[in-house]
Amino acid sequence: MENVLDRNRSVLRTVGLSKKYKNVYAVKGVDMHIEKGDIYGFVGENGAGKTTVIRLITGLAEPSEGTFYLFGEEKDAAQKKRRIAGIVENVSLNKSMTALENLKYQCYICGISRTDGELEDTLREVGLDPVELAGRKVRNFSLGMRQRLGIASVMIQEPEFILLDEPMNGLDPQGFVDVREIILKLNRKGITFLISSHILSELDKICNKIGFISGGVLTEEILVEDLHKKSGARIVVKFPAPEAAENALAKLSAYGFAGGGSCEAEGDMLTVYGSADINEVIAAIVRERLTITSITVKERSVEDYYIEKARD
Amino acid sequence: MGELLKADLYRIIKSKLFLVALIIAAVFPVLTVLMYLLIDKMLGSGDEISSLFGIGINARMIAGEAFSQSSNMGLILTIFITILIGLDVSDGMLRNKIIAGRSRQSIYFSHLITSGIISGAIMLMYALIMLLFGCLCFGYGVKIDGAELVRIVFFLVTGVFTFFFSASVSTAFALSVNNIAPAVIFSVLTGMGLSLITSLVHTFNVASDNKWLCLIPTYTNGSFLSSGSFDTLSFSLGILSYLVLGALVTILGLNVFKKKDVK
Repeated sequence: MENVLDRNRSVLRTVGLSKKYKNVYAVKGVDMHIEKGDIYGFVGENGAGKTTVIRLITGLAEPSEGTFYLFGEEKDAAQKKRRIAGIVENVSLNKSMTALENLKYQCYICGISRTDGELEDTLREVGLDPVELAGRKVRNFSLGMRQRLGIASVMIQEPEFILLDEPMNGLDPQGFVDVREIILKLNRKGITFLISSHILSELDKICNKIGFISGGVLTEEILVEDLHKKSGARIVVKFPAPEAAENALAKLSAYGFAGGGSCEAEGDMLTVYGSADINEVIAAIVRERLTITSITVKERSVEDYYIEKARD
Repeated sequence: MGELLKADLYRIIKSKLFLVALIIAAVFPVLTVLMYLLIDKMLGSGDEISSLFGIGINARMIAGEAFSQSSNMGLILTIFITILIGLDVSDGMLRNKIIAGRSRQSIYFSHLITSGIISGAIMLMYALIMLLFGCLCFGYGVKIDGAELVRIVFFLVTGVFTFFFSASVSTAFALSVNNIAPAVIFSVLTGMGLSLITSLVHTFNVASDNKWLCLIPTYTNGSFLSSGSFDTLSFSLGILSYLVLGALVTILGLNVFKKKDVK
C-alpha cells in the first residue's frame, strides 16, 4: 500500500506489471511512476510493449502478474471512478455518426451532460469547425480530423489523467502544433498525461519525464531535465566537404576529450559526443589546422538519448 | 447501467442498419401476404390450396410461421442484431466504454437488453403487420373469441421470447468474438441448428406424445396458432426453455467477455 504523501501526488504507480501471451511476456515487471501534473513520454521500438502497458492501465486487458495504483487506489477500485480517459491504438469513433453525435454518444457512455454549445466549443478547441462539419459522417473524415475528434471526445470527459497512444499519427504539421498546444493547455489546468509516440522531437517539446521501454522491460525512467544534464551536449562541426570531415575524424579521434567523448563523421559533419568542452574541441581543430565552416553546441535531445541507448 | 442503455439506444436509433431492419420488418410481411394472394389467385381457392398447405390460407396460418428463427425474417434479424453489436466492437466504442470505467458486466447486459428490446419490438411489428394484412386479404380463419384472443397473445409472447433468446445468442457471439463475420456465422448457425432439430422432431412425429420436447427452443414457435393444438403446458415449457437456455448462454458469454482482452 502506498503512503498518504504518495497518494496525494501519485497518479499512476505500476508494480511489477506483466502481461504474458502464451508463455511469452509482452510486458515484464514494469515499475513506472507518474505524478500529478506530469507529461510522461513513453518511448520504445515497435512491439516494445508501450500499447500493452496502456491497455493494462485502461482495463482493456488484465495483467498476468503485478498490479497498478491509480490515484493511490488499487486498479479495480480506481477504474470505476472514471478519472481517466484515453485513446488506445486507433481513435474509437462511430463512423456512421457526425462529429457532434459522436461527442453526444461519448457523453452518454460517460454519464455526463453537455449542451450542444459546449460540445461545439470543444470541437473548435481541437480545430474542427462544427458548422462546416454539420451533417458530415465521420467515415468521410481524414485521419487527422478523426484524431482531432478523438482528442475532443477525451476532453469533454474532463478527466484528471489522459493516456494517448500515438496521438500525432496522421496529423499534418499544423496538427502537430495544435495537438501540442492542446496538451500543454490541459496540462496547465493540472491534467496529467501519459503519451506514447515515435515522434521523439514532439515528446522532447512537451514531456517532463520519459520512460524507455524495450522488449517489454522498462529500462529507464528519467526527467527530461536530468536527461539533458546527464548526457551533456554534443558538439557538431561542419566541414567544407565530406573528405575533410573524414580527415578530421582520423585526427580528432586521437584526442581524449573530456567525458570520453567519441567522434563520428557523417557527410560533411563531425559530431563529438560525451561532455567535451567546446573550447577543448576548438583548440584541437586549431592545433590540427583544420578548416571548418561552423561549430555548434547542441543540447542532447530525447531522440539523441534514445538512439544512443539503442546503440548501446 | 441506465446511462449505458441510453447510449446503446442512441447508437442504434442513429444507425442506418436499424432503419433498414424496420423497413424490412414492415415490407416483408406485406410481400409474404401478397405472395399467398398471388398463389391463391393462380390456383384458385379450395381443395388444391388445402392440399398444398395442409390447411386453407388465412391470416392465422400465415402468421403462425412468422416467429420461426429459421424464417427469412428470423435470419435477417439475427444477422442484423449481431452486426449491430459487432460494430460497437469493431468501431472501438466498446474500448471507450471500458476506458470510461464501465464494468464489463454492465456493458454486456446493456447490449443484451437493447438487442432484446429491438429484436422483440421488430418481430412484434412484423407479426402484427402480417396478422392485420393477412386478415384484410384472407380473413383470420376462425372466429376470434376470448380463447382465440388469449391464444394470439400467447403466440406473440412466445415470439418475443424466441427473439429474446436469439438476442442472447447474438450478444454472446458478438461480444466474445473480435470480428463481426464469425459472430454472424455462429449466430445464424445456432438458429438454423435449433430449427433443424425442430424439423426433425416434426418429421419423425415424436412430439405428439412427448410434451417435454417443447423444451427444445423454437419447437413451440407459433406452431400452436396454425396447428390448432394448444395447451398451457407446452406453452409454459417453451417459455421456460427460452429463459433457462437464454440464461445459460448469457452466463457463458459474460464469462468469456469478462476474461477477454478487448482489441
